[in-house]
Amino acid sequence: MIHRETDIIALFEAALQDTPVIENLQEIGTVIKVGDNVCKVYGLTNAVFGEVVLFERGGTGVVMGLDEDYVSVVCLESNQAVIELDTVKRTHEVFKVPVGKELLGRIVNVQGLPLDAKGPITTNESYPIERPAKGIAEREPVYQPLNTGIVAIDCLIPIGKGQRELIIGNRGTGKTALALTAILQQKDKNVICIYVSIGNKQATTARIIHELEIHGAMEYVIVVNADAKESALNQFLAPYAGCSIGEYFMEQGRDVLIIYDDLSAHAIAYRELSLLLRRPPGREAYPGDIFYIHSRLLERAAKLSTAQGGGSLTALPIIQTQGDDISAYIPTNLISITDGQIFLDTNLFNSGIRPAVKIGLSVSRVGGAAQTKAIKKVAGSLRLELAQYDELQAFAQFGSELDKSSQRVLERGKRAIEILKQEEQEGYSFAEQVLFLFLLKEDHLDDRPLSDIKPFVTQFASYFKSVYSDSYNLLTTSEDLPEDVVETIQQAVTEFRVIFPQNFM
Amino acid sequence: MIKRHSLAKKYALAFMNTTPNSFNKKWVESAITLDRFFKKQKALFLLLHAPTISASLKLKALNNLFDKLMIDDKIRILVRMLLEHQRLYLLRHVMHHIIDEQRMRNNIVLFTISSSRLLTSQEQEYIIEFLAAQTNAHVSADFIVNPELIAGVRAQSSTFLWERSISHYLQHIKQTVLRQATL
Repeated sequence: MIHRETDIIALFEAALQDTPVIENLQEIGTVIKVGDNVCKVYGLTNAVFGEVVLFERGGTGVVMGLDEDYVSVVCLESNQAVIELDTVKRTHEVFKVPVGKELLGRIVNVQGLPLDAKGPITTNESYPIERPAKGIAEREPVYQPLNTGIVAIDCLIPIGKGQRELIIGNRGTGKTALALTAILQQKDKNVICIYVSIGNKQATTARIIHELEIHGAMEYVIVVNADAKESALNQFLAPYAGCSIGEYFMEQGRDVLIIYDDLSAHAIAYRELSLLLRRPPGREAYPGDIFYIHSRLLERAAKLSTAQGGGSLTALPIIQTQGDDISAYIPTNLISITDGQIFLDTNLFNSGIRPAVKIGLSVSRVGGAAQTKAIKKVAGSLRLELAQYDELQAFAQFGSELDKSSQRVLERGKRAIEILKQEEQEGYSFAEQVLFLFLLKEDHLDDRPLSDIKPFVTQFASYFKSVYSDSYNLLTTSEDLPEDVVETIQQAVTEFRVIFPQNFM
Repeated sequence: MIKRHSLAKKYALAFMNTTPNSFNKKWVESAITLDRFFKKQKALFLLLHAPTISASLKLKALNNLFDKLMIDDKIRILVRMLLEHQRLYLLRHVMHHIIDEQRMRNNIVLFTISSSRLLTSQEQEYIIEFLAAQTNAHVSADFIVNPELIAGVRAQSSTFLWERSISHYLQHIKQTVLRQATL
């Protein structure tokens, strides 16, 4: 809000200098019906789908339906003053969003207007929100790992730069927290992060932004906000706007991570829009092209070839299930589109295993191609061990006596679970994860009580990093586990076991 | 209302396709006369929709009216058809669509030109020539005076708008200031 007269005068002076461009004859239409943010406009015979139009009283809308005698225009702002017989002008431009490094650290809406009261954003370029995905020739296979900082994901469900990995789970299972940890882990890694909030509560989005600010992450993050108070059109367009912003950086050769939180709200917004536009409803009242709105969005994530700059756009779409049902309509659509899913289980969450990643139902179709050699060496058998643990756990619950090898599997599984547990926003580097799993693999944790596992591994990692910094740096830079480093780690463990007290907790 | 428009347009196009080359100046004048008559005599128009009055009586009344107003034969055919289909309420819409379609087929654009003061005939001719060049069409114009423009001219048809006026400029400034103030 402006309070000073000088500010108002400055605005008027700027507006006077900004003389309207001499326009040729403009194509117009007339509003013949208004309701629920949707206007039927008679005329605009040459308007194209997705074109932005201007209303007589100052609002804007997007053409979302083309009929024989009229077009359907959806208003961008829900409080727009539009009445019958208002004039509507074409702009001859599709919906665009400003793109550029000026957006870094800012919170914007779908139109690229700032919401953070840090002043206007002036960019040199604008990208249409609907852009064709990169072709096959412009891409290369996903091979670079993206470190999310979460041991369960980086070791068992590795994500590569340019991949689409779905995060799926019930409400309150830690989907957003997982995505937030991934964002925070990109600090100093030259990865730009874009968080697209779709249909969330403003309080939730404010909390996320606050966390990003506390951890100093906002300098490399852009937040595109279309919260629950925004119109269905804004919620529908938000992920495309965020994707266009990300594509700008990707085409500059940068790595980008984009989170769509969440696409179930996006689907609901599109359903609302389609029903208001009188499109025929299909299964669960969703329109027929509900698959296409997500497939064309997620197809824009890519790893570009070196000739194209080598940039990448990694997408982490989030979808909410009802009652852990991953066979519902929208979740199955997204599972088929993405390159894998991370399933967060309610029972695991409630039993204290957080992040509540259900390894058996989670997969990364990129797999080992996006893992460092070091991680592959130490985590190769972890998935199998956890699967064996799950199988034997059922028997253990019945109280039946198990042989020694089965008991060993159970104990190993319990220790693996303890390593995979992490606090919210607590991320570990690749090197730290390698050290954790090395300790597990080399049986250094078998004699420790369960409550000591996490403090032991984390403090050992700190110890190794400070005392054997050369080896630690070699591990970090080479992303491999050569023999000499292995020997150094073994030596460090021997030393650390003396320092670390038995029964720590 | 949209369905009514669509239905009226279908009737108009069908009627034009079945009776091509029939639209001349007399037809247009008859259509305008009938339209203006029904616009003034709304009560009569409503009576023509009353179900209690027989179709033959309605037709007799309409024939008398057409004779008095010297309405073209083609329009009489159109009205009888709408009466038989119990869609007489579409008559005015159908005629409007026929006129619009005829204008479109003959590349005629009708403009309403508003100015802050009365324009001279030379100025009117100049504006018509300008609009004809912009639209590549034959331009037909109605001129009105609208002091709210403050100064300048506004030319509007159903599909085109051209405006150079102080009020338009002030509106632009207002919207720019409001937009900047909310950032």
